[in-house]
Amino acid sequence: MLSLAASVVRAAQLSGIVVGPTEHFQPRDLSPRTRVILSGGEHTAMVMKDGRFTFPNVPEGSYLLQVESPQYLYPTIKVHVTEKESRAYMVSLGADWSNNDNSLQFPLTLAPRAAASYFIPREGFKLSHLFANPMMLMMGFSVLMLFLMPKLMANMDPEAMQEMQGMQDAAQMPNFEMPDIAATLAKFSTGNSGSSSPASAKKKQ
Amino acid sequence: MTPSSYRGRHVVSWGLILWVFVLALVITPIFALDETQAGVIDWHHRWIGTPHLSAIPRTTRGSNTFFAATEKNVVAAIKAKTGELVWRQVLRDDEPVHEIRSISGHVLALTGTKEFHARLLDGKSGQVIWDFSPAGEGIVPGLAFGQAVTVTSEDSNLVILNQGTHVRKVSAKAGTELWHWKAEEGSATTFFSVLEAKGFDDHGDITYVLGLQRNVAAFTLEAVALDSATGSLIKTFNIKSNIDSFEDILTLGGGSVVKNGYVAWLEQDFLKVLTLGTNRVTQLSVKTILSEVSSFEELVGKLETVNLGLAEGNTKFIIGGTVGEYHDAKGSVLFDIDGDSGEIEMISDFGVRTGFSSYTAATKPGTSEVVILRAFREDEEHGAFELYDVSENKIILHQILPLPFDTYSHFSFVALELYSKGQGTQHRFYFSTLDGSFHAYSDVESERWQREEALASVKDVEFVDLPERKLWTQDVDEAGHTKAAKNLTIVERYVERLRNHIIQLKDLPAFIISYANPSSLFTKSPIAAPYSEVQINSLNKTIPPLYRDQFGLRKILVFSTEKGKVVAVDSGNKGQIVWSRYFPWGHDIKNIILIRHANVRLPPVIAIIADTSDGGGNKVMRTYRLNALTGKDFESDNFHFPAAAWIPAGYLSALKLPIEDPEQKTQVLALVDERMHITTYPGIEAAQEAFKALSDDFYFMLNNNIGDKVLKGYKAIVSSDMDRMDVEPIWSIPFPAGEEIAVLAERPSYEVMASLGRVLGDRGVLYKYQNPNYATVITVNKKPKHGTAPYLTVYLVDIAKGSILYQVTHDNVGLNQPILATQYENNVVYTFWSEGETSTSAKGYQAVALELYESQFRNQRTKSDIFSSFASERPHVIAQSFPFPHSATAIGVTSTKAGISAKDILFGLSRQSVMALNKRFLDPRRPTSALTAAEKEEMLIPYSALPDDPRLFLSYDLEIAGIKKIATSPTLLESTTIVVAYGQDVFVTRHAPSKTFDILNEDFSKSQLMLTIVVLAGVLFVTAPMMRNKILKEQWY
Repeated sequence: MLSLAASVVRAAQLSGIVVGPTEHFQPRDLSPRTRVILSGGEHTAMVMKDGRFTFPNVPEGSYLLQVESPQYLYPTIKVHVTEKESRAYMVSLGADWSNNDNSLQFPLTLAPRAAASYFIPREGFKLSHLFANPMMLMMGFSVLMLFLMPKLMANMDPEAMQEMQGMQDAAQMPNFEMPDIAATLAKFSTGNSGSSSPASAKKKQ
Repeated sequence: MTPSSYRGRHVVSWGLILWVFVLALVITPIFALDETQAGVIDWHHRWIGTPHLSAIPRTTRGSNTFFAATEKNVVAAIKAKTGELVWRQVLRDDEPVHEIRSISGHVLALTGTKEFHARLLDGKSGQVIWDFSPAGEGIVPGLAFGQAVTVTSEDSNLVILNQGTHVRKVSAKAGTELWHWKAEEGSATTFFSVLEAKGFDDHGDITYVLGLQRNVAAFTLEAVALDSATGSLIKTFNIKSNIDSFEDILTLGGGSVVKNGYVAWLEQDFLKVLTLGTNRVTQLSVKTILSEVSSFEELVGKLETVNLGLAEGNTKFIIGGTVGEYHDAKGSVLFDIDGDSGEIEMISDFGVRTGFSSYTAATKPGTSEVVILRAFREDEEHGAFELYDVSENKIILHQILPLPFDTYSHFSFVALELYSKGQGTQHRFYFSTLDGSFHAYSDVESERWQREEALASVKDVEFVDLPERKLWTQDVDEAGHTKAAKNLTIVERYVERLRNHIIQLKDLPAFIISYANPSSLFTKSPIAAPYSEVQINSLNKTIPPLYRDQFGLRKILVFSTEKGKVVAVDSGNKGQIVWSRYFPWGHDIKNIILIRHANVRLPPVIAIIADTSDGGGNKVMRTYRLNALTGKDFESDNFHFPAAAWIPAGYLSALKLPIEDPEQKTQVLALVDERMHITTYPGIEAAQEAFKALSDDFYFMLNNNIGDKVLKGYKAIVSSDMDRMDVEPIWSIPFPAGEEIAVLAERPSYEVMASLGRVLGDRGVLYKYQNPNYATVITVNKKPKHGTAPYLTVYLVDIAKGSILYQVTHDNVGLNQPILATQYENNVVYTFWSEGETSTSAKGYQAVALELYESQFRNQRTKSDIFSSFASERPHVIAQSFPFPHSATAIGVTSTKAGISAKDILFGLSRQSVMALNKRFLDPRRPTSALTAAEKEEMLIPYSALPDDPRLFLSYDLEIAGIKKIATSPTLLESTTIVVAYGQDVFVTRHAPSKTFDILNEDFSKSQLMLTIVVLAGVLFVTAPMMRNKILKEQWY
């Protein structure tokens, strides 16, 4: 896969094969647009019908090899090209290149890491979705409470009710982080700018 | 205990849920399309460029595809009948196509400069079957020839010539080398052609390599005979000759061991022909030709050879020449070579035709009889084709077709296909014209088509907002007819309107049905019909008047092209071409500016500024003013403001002035020419006076070009004694030795800053640096400073006073990869290739984000109320670089109406996609250590490499080839921006960087709403009697 080449700059041939996600994948099903690029496009190789690609004349040095495919995502690879022997390792974006784990064998066989998915799935209209909606659940719950509450209240003894009221008052601590929408709205609609709404609500009781 | 306190609690929990929702919206900055939007909100035109080479598979019934190679380095297959693109292979920018051939249904293409490739592409899919690329062989720089290929008929293998020295026989099936012959090292001969032909002595199978040997003044011809089977040298023929250029030479005949090969050339006063394999040269003196050919009576200049592009084996050739007093016509004559004697025979005088003539030839289906096509201009409105049958020795077809000169100009390339249908022969002509478009003319009317390939070389785009329909109806009545100039009274108008409304009532049932139809309710978007780039019989098509949609999403995009053509397309309607204008005779369009928006009753007006040259080679700047809706000249009554004007000097710059011309309400431009004069456009008194009034504070940059070593700033000077406005340099920044400008970025033409500062986690504010006069300049130096590779320096320059606001150097960058930069508000983003400091450091693209603030401290502002470039404040710059996963070729930034929406940085990628990356990823304040509470509050994303996620691609899996620029334009919707990516393909989409918060979501289901209302109404009907009963009961008890 690597042969000597006579040139002013010492250079070598670099070739490999691009494969699909499964063993049954035919290389000819790769898009004709598929390209293998070295160093961000300094060298480009077209992928042939049988999946092979060749850079005929790569000067010695280290390169980043990427596969540009509209169908699949391929790992990025660093390649050290020398006239005699080249070495290749998988690298991840932004990682240092001194780490030489994930060594690859020649001839380079590039297998995709995932299929490229360009779209987010869209949720269609389903009745179950409609009722799973938190808004709907809350509404349902409110309606339910509207019916159940008077009955619950009727069965509760007066002492427990007193206690609960006390708990509720404790819970009505002013919350500065969260604007009290109810209070604002009440103020807005009644034009009452005096006391806070929980107090006024209590007075009405 | 009452329900009211419960309600209070509910509201709190509702509020919480709302918050969760809002957070969820904000926290997922990854925008992605869903599949139903694809092709609905975007469109994509696939262009190939103007063809200059073609290959047609030989069939008798007519081929389905036409193979073309174009000046945009594309090899493409086009459906012969419809003009649709079957496939294309877009090659590198440095990989021009030298030759294409059709070989058993596939295409052979010889390409490349640095690397030479011979590739066989599958005729059906465009996939590479084999790729033959000798290592270390490019092409000789500056040599116009040196690559050639010939098919050897006996074993149907190829002989390929490269670099003018290497000859190889390559197996056509597998692309493997069979033999290699190389010219001697240091030989003075450069070879230009190869041919297999009849041998000599006892050598039967010979491949001839033809070369030119450099002599003192001219070239002499050399023919090398190689053994076709082994490639061994048999003999070298040195022919006594005196040739000026290789263009005077034609290689003829051959292609088989039984046919003689010939070389014909023009040499001073003779036309000579060499029979290959011998030293026999026959000749015909030019004098004889001139005396016998009546076409050449008025010959001006030299005779020239014409390549007919026939396959090997044919010996016919044409000699042509320019004739006529005004050099405006061509004469030509057809020659043949006698097979036995090698004598030149004159066959036919083709006569004189106006304009340039383009020739091509083909053989009749199933025979080897040659038919020659000559294409030329008949008159101003028509082009013509003449088909000459050599065997019958007469013109068999004279076809005139409408081809207005103003729109298409001359023919630049023709190809001919003949096929048999029934008893007769059918013709198909493929041609490109100087305006860049590509056409097919067929005997069958439905198979005539046109591709507007000028759009493959778009230089610039201008967005034109459409007028509102309300305004449009002032000139056109409500039924759509142009209103006659009748003055109606109010009552009459009212009656007319009422009548129209009644007429429109008939559409109401259909509207209700369409709305009530459940299928239309439950299926969301319409399925997009694929738009074809092909215009069939486009000449007589009328486009209905366009008007704005509710959200201003529909615009006219006016593209200026390198061909001198201006094409306007509709951004809705899949990019239908609305109008096009061609400016012939070498108009180099420099700028295209919308000088008036659509206004009440006034159409939008666009100014086109182009450089041309007069007869004497002097540059002339020409300005044209067009109605942007129709493309017609916009005439005004003012004598001083004609639709077309000129200035006798080359173009430097056109600056938009904040002045309006009082008569036509157009924006006034200041045109700066190479004499350093300023001319206002329009040149009326009022505009000049207004400009003089503001010229004191008018600073700008001029002709700062890529490759310059100095950056200069200018100011307008109004000389009081003379009535002239000049430009004077006021500052210059000479860069250190070796540095050259690589990239310039200025702030976008449309920009609104919505917020003055950036709110931090602790509610403090960093105030943005709001200098409208700063520009980004990136210089490169090939000589390394500290590292091992070239370095680049980024300068932020105040263009009013020429001071450097910020400067940073990146060592070890790659200059073979693109460097890109964009700026907006207080942000600069640039990308470059980093080679890394040492051999073990990572290589890859880096994207750097700069943010400019008034101060490094929170809540601190400059004291002054107004910003002045002349104050000495410098911005505080926060910078961060990020590894970038793709190779980008273009950069842009979204722009919205009020600037409230988040910004996305748009990248055109070499993998033929358009990517949108939210600014939150390119935020220099992204923390590199663990997030603090304040940073969490500010919702910063921890530092990481930029995401490599296909869901960021606005163009999903479309193939957007050759993106050179990305332009954006705001719409009436704050959330949405129109994105246009161009270069070779044109891709237009709508993009909402912060999601469409100002319109109902596409997901919003009207059907759900309707359903709920219906259900509620139903429930009401059921519960109302129940309630009534209950009340009644309560009354009783």
